[in-house]
Amino acid sequence: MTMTGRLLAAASLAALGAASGPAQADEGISWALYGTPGIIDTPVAAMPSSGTISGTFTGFSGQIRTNFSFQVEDRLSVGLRYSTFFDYYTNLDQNNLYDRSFDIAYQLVQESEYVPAVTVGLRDFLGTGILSSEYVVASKTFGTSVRASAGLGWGRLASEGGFDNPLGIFGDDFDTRPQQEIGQGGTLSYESWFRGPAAIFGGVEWAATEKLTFKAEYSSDGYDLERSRNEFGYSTPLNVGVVWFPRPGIQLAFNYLHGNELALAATVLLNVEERPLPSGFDSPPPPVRVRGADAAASWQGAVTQTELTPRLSAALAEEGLELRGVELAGDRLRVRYHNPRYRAEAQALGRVARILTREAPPQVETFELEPEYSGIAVSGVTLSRSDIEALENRVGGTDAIFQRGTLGPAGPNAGLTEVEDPSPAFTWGLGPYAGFVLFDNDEPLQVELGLQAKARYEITPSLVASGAMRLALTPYREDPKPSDSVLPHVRSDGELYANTGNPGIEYLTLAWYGRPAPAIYSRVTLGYLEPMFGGVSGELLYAPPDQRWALGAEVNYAVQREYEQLFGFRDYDIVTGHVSAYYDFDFGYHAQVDAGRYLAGDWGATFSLDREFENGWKIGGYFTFTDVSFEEFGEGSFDKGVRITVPLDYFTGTPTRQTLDANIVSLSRDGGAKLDIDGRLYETVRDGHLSDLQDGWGRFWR
Amino acid sequence: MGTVLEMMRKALIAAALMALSSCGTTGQQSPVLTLARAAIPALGAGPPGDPSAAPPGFSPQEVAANPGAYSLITIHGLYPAGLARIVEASDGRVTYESQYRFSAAYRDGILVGTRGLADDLMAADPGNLLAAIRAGGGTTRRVHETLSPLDEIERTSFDCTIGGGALETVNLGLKEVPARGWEEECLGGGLQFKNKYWLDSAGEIVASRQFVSETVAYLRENSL
Repeated sequence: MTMTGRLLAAASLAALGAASGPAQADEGISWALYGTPGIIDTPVAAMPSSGTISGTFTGFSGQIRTNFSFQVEDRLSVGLRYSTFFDYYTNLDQNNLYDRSFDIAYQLVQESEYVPAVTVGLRDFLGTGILSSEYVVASKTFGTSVRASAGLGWGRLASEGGFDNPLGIFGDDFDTRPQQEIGQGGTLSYESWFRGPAAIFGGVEWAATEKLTFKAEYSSDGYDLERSRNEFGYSTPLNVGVVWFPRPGIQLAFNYLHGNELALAATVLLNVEERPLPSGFDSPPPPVRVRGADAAASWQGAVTQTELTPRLSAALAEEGLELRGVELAGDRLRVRYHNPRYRAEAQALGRVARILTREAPPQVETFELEPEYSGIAVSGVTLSRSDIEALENRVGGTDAIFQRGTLGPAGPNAGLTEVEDPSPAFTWGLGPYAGFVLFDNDEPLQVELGLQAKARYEITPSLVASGAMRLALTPYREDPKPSDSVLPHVRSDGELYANTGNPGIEYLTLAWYGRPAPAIYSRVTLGYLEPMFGGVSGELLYAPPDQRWALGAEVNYAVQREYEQLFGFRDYDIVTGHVSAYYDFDFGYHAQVDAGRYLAGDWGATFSLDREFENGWKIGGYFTFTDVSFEEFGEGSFDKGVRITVPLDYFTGTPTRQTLDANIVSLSRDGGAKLDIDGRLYETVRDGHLSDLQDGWGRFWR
Repeated sequence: MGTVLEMMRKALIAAALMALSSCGTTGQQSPVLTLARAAIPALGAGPPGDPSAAPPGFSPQEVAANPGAYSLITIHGLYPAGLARIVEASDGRVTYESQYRFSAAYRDGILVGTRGLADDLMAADPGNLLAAIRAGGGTTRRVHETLSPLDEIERTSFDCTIGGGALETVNLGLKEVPARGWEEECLGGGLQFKNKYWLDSAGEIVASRQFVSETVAYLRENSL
């Protein structure tokens, strides 16, 4: 293979994530029919390493499940499942039942030489509860190839061989499992957890070779539902199966279920904490130039700001960075720049700092670097030139430069000579797009493909007009369902918008950003703000760059747009807005609370929690409670969702700030709905603030 | 049947859209397309490092005019032998930029950093390696820093034994010179490697083969 071929292959491997399958410690763990580590029906206590994401597709007679699981921490995992029960209904137009369910599991005890791992878990704890069960399971490995598990199950995991609940000693409440009231679904079914009969389950896994694991289990899942609804053959509680591991990160399981049925499972794994090419194919940065003993004498006064600016601009452009302002004052050089290339702001900072060692006159000892986004300087990082000269390629240099630098608000615009952006003010693009609608009751996965045209005119870096138009080539559905919502139809008419507005204007706005005080940022956006609403939006954010918290407020006057998604409006308007608090914990979590008035006029709060990895991956969820009752809200009871942000440089290995963002909402209902405005302040400024800088600081010298 | 036809129609449109390159002046393409291009090199993405696109400064005339500013660098299995040009030399440090667009930094002939190799050596402290060589052998504690998949600096310590010193003839590409060969055998962090250094009669390192990282392995360098 040629060198280029090998690199291409390496990049492709990275892109496929194939080389970032399970770690050595995860060998032998296989994903079972519920899309979580298990034998076949039953769970095991073993857990994969933190950061593992799995996608498992399982199927057997009358049922298919699409499962995703995420190992949040070493001991905590969560799962999301979408199940199709074929021919579930016999007297409705629609025969199939589509059901969402969520799982959570926590490892109480980690396995050691003589002690088994012990895990407690809940299956389908939020939703209709059709698959709901609870369990405590213990697993112990013997040698390098055998793992035995045994556990106690409730709910569905006690539907075969059940006996009186041993937890009954704590009260009579545990003896009976209450009939679950599904209602609108989507609520915690805690009143039935660990209630009713219990049953024992267990099994053995034997890794016969590196690529084959054989399994056998006694399952306490009696498949009552399936046996009552279709011809699911059940003749024994025993299951057997084999898992084939064709390559790291891929598993295929073939199971013989309860003496009659064949069940298949296919799993793809990826660990966001493992990346085969961690420093990436980014081009090498310019090396630091150390001032010589005689340099000061020969350079003193030789370079003026006017001469320096074009040289800096060209050198930054070589690194994909844009110079926005320069101030040379005595021994101090202040540089404002924009970084459209590097995900980690620290990497851009490191490159600018090295360029300054090469270009700045020798009397300059202090570099003040100010990253700028949307025309506002989001922070100021002060570094000593001598430190940069001393610490390049030094063990401990990354930590030292972080400790010795200072972080605060950017300096004022006064004193700074603006540098004209040489890139064109008007840019446009035309390309394909793909949209998805999930979890619709009639059609669980709808895909829309089409063409999108975007245009942007940068009047100044902080005053930008932009718009986008879409033409759907495969619209979602030709016969949109009317909304049954009793609230103003602020979101539930989404299908009407998608079908009527083709082609349609996605957004057409004029946005103005400012920094009225050193750590206060502002935004005003005017126009067609999003596909369903237009109006005006104003936002203020107080975010000291050296703090982990921020406070914000947003007020919008929003008018609902016509279904055609052109220039007309409907007769619904509302003043909506929120106060927001943000906190970035230093152990990988980010929390946000927004409280205020939502689009349908309901008042309430949204709570968000995201697991944020230093390399840019984010996986989290949110829920909104408002004064709209569960009945008024409709199916799902309240607004909630799961979201994921994938940094594309993880896969491409080349520097990019692009991300793939997916927001998996349960259903688009009208309660707890917010405006979908592009360019909110917190996401605009946070890259240059303490938490995000610290997360990416390892790339300062990269 | 209708459903199947509809699915086929959507698949065809999806394929056509995938094949369609985004156009315009925004410099951005759809994230999905970026991923697809990364996964399928035939769609046109790939890492830098194409040897046919060497950076400026590598024309035969430039090399002939100042051969002392160039070195020969090889990373076995990753890059064939190629030229590298000194882009910075100050304070006892020399940084080379390879014609394959990665860089390697040396301090007194000891590799202390690479950039652009996807699994770079971010920093290195060779301990008292040079003193041990001057003393005719000995031991040292070497420390390497690399980037973790979570963008954190990972530090690994190695216990190293230095020995050798026999006179050898070293091929530097354009000439052969006599030099004493020293070996540094290191163990630590689940890794084991053996660096080699060839020193001329003035005590300068004229050629070396030094460990970078687990993925990259060794970088061989010699002055022309």
